[in-house]
Amino acid sequence: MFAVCIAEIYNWAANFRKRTVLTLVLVWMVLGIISKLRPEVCLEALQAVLLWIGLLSGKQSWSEITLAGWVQKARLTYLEVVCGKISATLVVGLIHAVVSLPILILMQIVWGLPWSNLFAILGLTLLGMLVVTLSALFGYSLVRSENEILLHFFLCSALVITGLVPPFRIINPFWQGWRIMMGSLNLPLVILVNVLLLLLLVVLEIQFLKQEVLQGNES
Amino acid sequence: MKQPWVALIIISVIISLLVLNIPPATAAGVSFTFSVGYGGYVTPGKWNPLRVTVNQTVADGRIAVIRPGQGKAEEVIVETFPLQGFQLDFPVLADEHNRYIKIQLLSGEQVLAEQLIDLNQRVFPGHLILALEVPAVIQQKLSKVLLPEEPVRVAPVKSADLGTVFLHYDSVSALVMRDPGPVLAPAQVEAIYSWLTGGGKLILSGIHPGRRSLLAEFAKLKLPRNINQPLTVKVGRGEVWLWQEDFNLLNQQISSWQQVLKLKPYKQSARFSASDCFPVLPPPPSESKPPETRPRPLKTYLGIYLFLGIWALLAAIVTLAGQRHNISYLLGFSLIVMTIAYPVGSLVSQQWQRGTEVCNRALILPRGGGILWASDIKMADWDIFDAGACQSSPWGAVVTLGRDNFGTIRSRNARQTIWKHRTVSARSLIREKNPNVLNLVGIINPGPSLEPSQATNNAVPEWWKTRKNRFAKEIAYWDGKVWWQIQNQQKKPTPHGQIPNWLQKQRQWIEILIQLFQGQSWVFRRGVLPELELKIEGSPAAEVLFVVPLEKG
Repeated sequence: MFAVCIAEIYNWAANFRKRTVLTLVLVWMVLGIISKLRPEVCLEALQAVLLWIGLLSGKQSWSEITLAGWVQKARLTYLEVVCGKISATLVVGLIHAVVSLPILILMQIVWGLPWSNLFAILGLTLLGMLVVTLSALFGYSLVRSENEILLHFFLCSALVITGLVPPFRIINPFWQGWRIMMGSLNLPLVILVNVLLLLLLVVLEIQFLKQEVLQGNES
Repeated sequence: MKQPWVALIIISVIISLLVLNIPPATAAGVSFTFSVGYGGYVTPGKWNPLRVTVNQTVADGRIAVIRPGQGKAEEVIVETFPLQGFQLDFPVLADEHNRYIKIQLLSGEQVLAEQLIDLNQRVFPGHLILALEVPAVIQQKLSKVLLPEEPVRVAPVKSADLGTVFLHYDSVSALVMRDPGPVLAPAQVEAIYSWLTGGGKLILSGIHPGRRSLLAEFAKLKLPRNINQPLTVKVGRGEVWLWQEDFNLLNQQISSWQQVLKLKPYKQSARFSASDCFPVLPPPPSESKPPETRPRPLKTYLGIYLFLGIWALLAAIVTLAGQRHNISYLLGFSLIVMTIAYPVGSLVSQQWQRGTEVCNRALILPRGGGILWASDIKMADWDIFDAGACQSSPWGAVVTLGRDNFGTIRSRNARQTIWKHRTVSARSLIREKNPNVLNLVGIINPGPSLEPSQATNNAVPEWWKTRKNRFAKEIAYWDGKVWWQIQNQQKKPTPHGQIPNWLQKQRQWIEILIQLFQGQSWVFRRGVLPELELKIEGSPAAEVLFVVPLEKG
């Protein structure tokens, strides 16, 4: 698991670090200047950037060995490989959060957003990022590379639908981020539901991974 | 089991469902009783005392008085904590917006007991006289002093029933009592003294000699040690009548009581009380101030831009210049910038009041009776596309008043306002919460920043001598007919044809005061009053317009 995790982080730092960090800096600067660091604008933008990084991770953009490849070559269990992948995604997300922290601190002091709410949003976003990574992992293993646009469309639709349909809002990070800012959220329940969703996706991903490895072996 | 994570999921789901469904533990047998108003009647439009008595001690206990939101109105929660002992006195405003209030007894986040009160159940819109150990015959006479025009309500009370906060006497026109001896608590004495200076009337008979008298507790009145004959003492706007004889020995007719009480018809009478001096004014419409004229905290914006620009530039350099796999430069840079983010943020945030407009008004009661004050905190409308104007956050702001009172105010997006007291006696309260304007009202003790002349409301010349006072920027004077003003560098006041420009914003309130207390001369000053240090988050204390009613002579 640690081998997968370290290799993923190493590959991100080598191949994708400049792209993701500079995007984050650019987003902060542009929206920070336009909105005078208003949290309701900047935090939602940070969420969008982190989810995008989660999507890239799920797409295995910077991976030199795919998850199926890890299973086949390194003789790791499916659970270890998936856990290694989401740990690496979490670390990459945390690195971006740390890079943003100076601005988050400034924003918090200027606009008076409670610290607990700020860290709750960050935590929930990282959780959402993992959900997006896992969704993208089996999404990309389902569709072929020429149908990527279709997959992106589905993922965007999922975000819109979970934002619009009240029962699904509990898993929409943007909606929940807003609710946390307004201080009207049952946070333990939201975390619980999102963790359960994450576990469900882990199970699904393992099943897909099994099929992928079996098909690979047969071919 | 071959797949331990399946077991993990099932166990976590079961535990979570159990945790979510466990009912909160309730403290067995905890309950409270309450009484509102004096004698069970509420005076509409005035602050009335609410007394909550809990049947047992509650760990981490506190009382919340909640005005439920109806329609567009917001839920207003006023909490007092900690609940030491079993009893809590709390003033509540009875008006058309405040018909129902809910009282909750809380411990931590847990509601131990709650009750809904209808304040309009028993109302009496008229004069209220509190009678302590007064014979029934006298009470009857007192109730007829304004007949045939209107009845006066006389409420027999015990010394323990007397309120401990100035606002508890908001509806009380006179206090008639047989000297009970020095039985009152210091808070009661202080509240009664403030009420007296604002226009209350205290009638005391059967006075005990020396230290056995109630008067021994009223050192501020500076009364003679022995009272051998009827004595009348003026205290600010109020009056104290003292009789050595007992009520039973006095043969006062109704006409004599009329002369003593000098009650005007209820609608024409006015005291320096919270409800009379600070009526709820209609909030100015939000459209009245176009966004471009709203105050813009330029220093704050500049600080944000500078910090953002430098951070972005350095972050880009560190990211591009760092070695291929090495992210330690990036993390190290972030940690260094993080250490300076807090002081920079504190410096920048001190330049503005979080998009709120604060309007503080204070009336200094005569003879050191206290500072009666009201604050309107207007949250600017929030509009994500109106990024140029000074806006407030949708989650509102934390307001602190001195060390003991604080609360969170929110703009129209949230529907709850919470105001908390760290002291048992609630001396400052939310009076009104419109969608985006919060009104607070209360009383504070005059502190050392007020010079003796200010505290005692001396004659005008003394006031002009204090021009150099560090916390007053401007001074204006209304002599009952004409406005006077001291301009910069001037030593003598000059007549001013109309209300000075710097008072124009408060014109509505000033006109109400002048109309209500005709013939009264006032001094108006503006500046920071250290006693009334109202802050929004880390902003500097808001300025106060404070008025001083001058005593004649």
